Amino acid sequence: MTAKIPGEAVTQATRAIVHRVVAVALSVVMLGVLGTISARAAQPGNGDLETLKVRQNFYIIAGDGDNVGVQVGRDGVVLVNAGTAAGVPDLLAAVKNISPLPIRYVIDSGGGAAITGGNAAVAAAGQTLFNPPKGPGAEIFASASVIEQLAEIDGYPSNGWPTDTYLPQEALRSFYVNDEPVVLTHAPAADGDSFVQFRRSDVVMAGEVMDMTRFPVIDLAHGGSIGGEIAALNDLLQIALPPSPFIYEYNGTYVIPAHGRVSDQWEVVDYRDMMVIIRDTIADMMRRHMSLEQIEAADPVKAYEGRFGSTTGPWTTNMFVAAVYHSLQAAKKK
Amino acid sequence: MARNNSQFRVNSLRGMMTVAVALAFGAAALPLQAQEQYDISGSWVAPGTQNIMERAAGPVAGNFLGMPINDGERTLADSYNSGMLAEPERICQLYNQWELADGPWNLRFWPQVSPYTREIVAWVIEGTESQAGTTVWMDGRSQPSKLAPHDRAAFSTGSWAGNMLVVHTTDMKSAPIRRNGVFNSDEATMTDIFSPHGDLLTATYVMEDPVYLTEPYIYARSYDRSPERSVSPHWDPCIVNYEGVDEGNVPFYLPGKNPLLSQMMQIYHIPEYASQGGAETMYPEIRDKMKAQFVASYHTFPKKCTLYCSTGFAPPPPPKTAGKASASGGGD
Repeated sequence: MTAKIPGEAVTQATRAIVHRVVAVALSVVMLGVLGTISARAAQPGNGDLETLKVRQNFYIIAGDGDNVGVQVGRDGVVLVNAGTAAGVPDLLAAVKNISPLPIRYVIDSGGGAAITGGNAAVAAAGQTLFNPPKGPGAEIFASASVIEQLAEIDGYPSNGWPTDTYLPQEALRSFYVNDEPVVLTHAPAADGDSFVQFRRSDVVMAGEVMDMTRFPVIDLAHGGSIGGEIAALNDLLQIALPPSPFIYEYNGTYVIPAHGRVSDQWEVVDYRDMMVIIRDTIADMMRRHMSLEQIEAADPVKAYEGRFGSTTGPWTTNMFVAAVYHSLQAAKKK
Repeated sequence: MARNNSQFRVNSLRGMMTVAVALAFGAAALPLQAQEQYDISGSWVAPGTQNIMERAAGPVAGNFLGMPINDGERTLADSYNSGMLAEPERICQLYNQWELADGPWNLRFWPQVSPYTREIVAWVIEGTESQAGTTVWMDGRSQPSKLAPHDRAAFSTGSWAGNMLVVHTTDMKSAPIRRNGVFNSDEATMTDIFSPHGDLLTATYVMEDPVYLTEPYIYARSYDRSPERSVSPHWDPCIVNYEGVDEGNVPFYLPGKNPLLSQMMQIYHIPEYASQGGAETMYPEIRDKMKAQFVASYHTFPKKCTLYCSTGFAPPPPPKTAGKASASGGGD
């Protein structure tokens, strides 16, 4: 099932339908008021996946690994991120629900397993636009650093490696598909990170630079740092535009985070400011010769922990604080 | 006794909400055409005397009194530097739907009707300025996906409970709910109850925020119908200009470094435990606690008004038990 953004394609189908759903919908709303259930109804797609139409020819699929961007059109399907290896069957089924045309490109916005785990199987299910020796599957496009990251993984299938890459020092790399410019730029949060812009749709896939469900993963092992994270968010603010001057009418550029809901420039600013405040707070504590343990105990992320913190899972608050600490320590030594 | 009174008041408020919600719930079970839609349309003007510090000049820094905030919110607000609003990246941001509650001026309601049936499918509510307006859908549409963006108008649905319009709002932006650094999170929700009584409109705004509030934050205001003067929202286009902060800079105060947090003590002699807010500061008992301290320490207070002296917001007069010292301002 595909949900739509309100205002973009609001379904005022028929009065009959409206009348049928009104009692149930208002009941749900009022139950939400009473606090007995969440009023936000999930709209599942295949398996536990959920599909949301973001723009006319742009969708996201969420629920396995990082959010997957789906651009569709007459040339076929372009995917940003391939999810986990285990999630590929559901992902492919969800993509088929959007478009019957073949997948032409898989673009990795980073090198993590939640992005590249499905590369091989998703690409194999696609069809390249080019003649042999490329193909027969879809092209896999990424920063050159992603290859280095994948090469570190024992048993990672070589047919999941990017077939085309760009270097982080390149200003940008672009191609034009489905009547739309698709632009990759290096996101300096970590070595393999890319922003992927869809210029006609006015959507940016922000990769791991921004996560609406947790603090960002600072990947120290692959060139990540808190300074790089902030630089990347500042870069993102250069390409995610607010709806000025008609701020009452539009949302501006949509930003798709690694996880969580679709965002826009407003949330990027909030996220950037949060990172700056946390960095400076921890740096101030380090200047006062506090140890990592003392800093963790002082809770330098208290203001944001209720929204983005976690004590369990693969990326806890303490892991984030430690990563910022070590990142600042490393920067000091340089 | 005081506790009992406060509890009674809170219970009354909650009782009123519960009744309203229950009525709305009952109304929700009715088909759309069976629900009577009251006419709330028109311009409603807020008397200038209500909550004027909150709505006009803005609250004193560090004044979180009466807000059920948690430690996270307090930490966030303590770090707040109003220069943040001058960040070029923030200049064209707006307030959110809470601006209806504590914004400076007035409201305007009008109905949106179906082009086919002429039934009212939504009520639009606009404040005077600085927020995107609220479209209250009355047609029973479902909530947006949890993946959907939170746009500036948020998402509101409504129903009638008698002549009360009950509005539930979700999908809000994170924005100030008090203009000294207290923000709601994007997980906050609002329930507004608009109760017209002839030419008087009573509005009760309730914010719940699982991230930053420990109890519902309730705010009530009243408005007079303005048949002769239409409320004109100032919805000017916005362009970014330099307002003193360079792009990429984030003005804020490190923990313990905000020099303004003692203003409540300096100006109003409100002790820190009260000005820091928290659910307990919503209830009348806090007055008794503060009064004892106020009287005991009165002799240490400045004897001359230094701020807001001619605006009616001067520090309070001396308590009768505090001797002959005068604290009347006059000052400047």
